[in-house]
Amino acid sequence: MNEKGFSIIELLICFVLVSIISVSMFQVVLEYQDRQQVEQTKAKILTYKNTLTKKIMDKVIHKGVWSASTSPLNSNIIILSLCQSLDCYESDYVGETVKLEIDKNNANPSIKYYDSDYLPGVKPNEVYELPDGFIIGDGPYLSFDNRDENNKLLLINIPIENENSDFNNEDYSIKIIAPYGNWTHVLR
Amino acid sequence: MVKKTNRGFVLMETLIVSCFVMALFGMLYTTVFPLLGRYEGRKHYDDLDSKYIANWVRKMILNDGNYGKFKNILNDGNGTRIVDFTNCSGYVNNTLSCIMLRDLANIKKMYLTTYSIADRKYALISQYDGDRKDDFTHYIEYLPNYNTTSAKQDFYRLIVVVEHDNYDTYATIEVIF
Repeated sequence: MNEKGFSIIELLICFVLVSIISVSMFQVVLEYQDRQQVEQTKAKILTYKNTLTKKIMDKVIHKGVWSASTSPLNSNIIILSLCQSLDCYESDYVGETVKLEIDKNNANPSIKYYDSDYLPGVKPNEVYELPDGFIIGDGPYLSFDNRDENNKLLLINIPIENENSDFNNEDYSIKIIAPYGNWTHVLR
Repeated sequence: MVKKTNRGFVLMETLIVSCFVMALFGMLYTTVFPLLGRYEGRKHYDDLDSKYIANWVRKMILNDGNYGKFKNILNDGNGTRIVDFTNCSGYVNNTLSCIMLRDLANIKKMYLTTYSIADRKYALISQYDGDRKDDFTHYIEYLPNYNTTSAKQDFYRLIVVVEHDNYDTYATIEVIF
């Protein structure tokens, strides 16, 4: 066998080629690392949105909403008066009250969920903190369509935004449509 | 015993092998890349918000009580067996509440069709007249055929398209009359 090794030129060419490939691969790996982080954050915000939506929808579907309003003292507090059961037809049948406090001034914006009457100082039943980088947009958080007096609809719309352009194409807002008022509502 | 030589590959051999490898990578890329795009699109299929909206539409149809017209069309073997009731008129008694729900939920299309959509897919796609038709086509193609049994003869399928700024979301839910 020939025991002659590589020449310096061959080695140099190899090193240059390997360096070029490594640098180009490094850029690709960095790009995929960024993308993976973005996807992870998207998964977090979707889980957040779905958890909160399901929490409120369970109440809306199984109890029914009699009325909805924002607190006269604080427009960031949404008050939902629920019926004791789906067949409530007057305010006497109103059972529990669910309140959502939108806390967007904090460094960690969150939505606080109260299962009972809201009183200052009372601890919320659950606190839903937004993932890093997301903020809660401005209200109004409630809108109504009362064109049909017997079939009134309510939309809870809590905008959730992220300044990073990677998140601009998707809508992460919490949007809940619910019938409210009379138990003969076509959606009950 | 095979005699070893110290001869390396000639340029032509190297070029041919490189071409083969490049062709393999090219084929792999063209196969995988569309799948990535499909994955992106599937985030918009049967998401929670659209599913709840479909649930409200189903409740509206069932509580409205006027589903005889739906059944007539859906059971007519000579027709398309697809009902597009997006404009709310003609199929529900309470047209206004249907319009309110459609507008508040940003519903772009509402279809009621047979439970099994194996032979309805082409008709659904061809009669869709909204924008982003390619996305709708992908959704309908993605849906399983939902093979029905004799016990499911009164089962039907509701398909809802919800409009957003940059995309549409889709949901399907069964309806039992």
